[in-house]
Amino acid sequence: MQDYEIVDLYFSRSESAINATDEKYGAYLTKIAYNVTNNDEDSKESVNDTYLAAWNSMPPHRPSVLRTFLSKLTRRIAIDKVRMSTRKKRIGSQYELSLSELQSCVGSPDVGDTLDAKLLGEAISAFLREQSPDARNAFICRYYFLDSVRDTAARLCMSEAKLKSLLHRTRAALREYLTKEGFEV
Amino acid sequence: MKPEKIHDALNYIDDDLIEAADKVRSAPSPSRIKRTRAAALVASFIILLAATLVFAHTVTPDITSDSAVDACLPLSTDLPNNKGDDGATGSDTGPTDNAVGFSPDGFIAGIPTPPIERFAFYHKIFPTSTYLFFYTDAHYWPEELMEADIQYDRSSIKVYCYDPNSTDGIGTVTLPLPDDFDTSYNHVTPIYATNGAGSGECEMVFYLEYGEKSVFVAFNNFRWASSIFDFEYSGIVSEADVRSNLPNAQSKSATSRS
Repeated sequence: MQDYEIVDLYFSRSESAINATDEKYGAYLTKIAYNVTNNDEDSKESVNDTYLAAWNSMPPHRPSVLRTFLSKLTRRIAIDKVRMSTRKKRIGSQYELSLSELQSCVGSPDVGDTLDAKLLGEAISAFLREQSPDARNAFICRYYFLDSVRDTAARLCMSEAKLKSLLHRTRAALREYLTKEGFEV
Repeated sequence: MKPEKIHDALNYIDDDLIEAADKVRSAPSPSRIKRTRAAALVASFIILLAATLVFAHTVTPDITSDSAVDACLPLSTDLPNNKGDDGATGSDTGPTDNAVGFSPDGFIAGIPTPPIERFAFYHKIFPTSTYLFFYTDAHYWPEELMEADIQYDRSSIKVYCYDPNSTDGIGTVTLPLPDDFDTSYNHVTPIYATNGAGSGECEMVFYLEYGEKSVFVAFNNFRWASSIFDFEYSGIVSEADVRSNLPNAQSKSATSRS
């Protein structure tokens, strides 16, 4: 089924949209979620939450590339899940409790954080466009898709050592770029 | 800045950048491509080798280019099916122009392809509507394969017989050569079948090659009853007889080429 047909199913509020999405992208999304969580159960939950998020966002949003749209949802949800899990492990810590209490002093974090993340994301995009295709793809595979160094090196036909070196140089260049752009790093 | 912020920000990088990287990571890995290519090469080589071996075992000499046969058989490769319905004599016999697919004349649908695609001819038993289809085994021994096939019994000629109406399906007819016959032939080619003298009878003629030598032999007194087939060795036939007895006196050359 074509992506636009799947999106149409979401817009017509057909529940088969979920099945169609799962059939076409289930494995792909599960892999992304697993890269983040390293846990089968959390991965499945993340993917299911992705479908719910997609259901809630379409309509009104009509993604131009469904695959990328879903990958972003899964990635964000899986990262949130890892953070939640880490926080639970620290529960009981007075430091964690104080953080939640002090949160009220600094107002709602969501809007500002989201804005910052968007601006930072735009800056990273601009930076990546200046890099070589290998450096760009290596950075995205490693830090967006969270693929292992080994897998990424294999995909890019380079040794792991070379990939690590490339990533190191790219990170250093990104730091420099962000500093120049006025971000606090 | 915490690394988490970078991770959050990566969710906002441009879609086209993600797509490009996604294509790279979704493509088959180079090592897998190499393995696939290697496997394809090996498979191709095996197929080529198998085809070569099969061809070497099944190809028969073009008898129309053989000087001895050329002398008596028409060179025409235009071989209309010999359907000459001979109700009077009670048989309808002739060569098929091509045994490939083994459905001569399209008389009977669903006739299975014989295991070895060789020259074939059919024989219709009157007054029944039974057609018997005959084809020979691949009796060809290139010199280099003589040793491997030396075990094959060449004191007879084995003919496969297919009776579409019989539950027995394909059977074999063994055409025994006389004891004093030179049984070292390395190639046998069915030439034709003609109507026999009696009802339901036919005669089969084969061309046997012994290196530089060759001979035509005939079998007749075909008998068929209850899916039992039988022929008797008739004798050596001259080339002139072969020529004159070609079915319908037309260019019903014996073509055994696959």
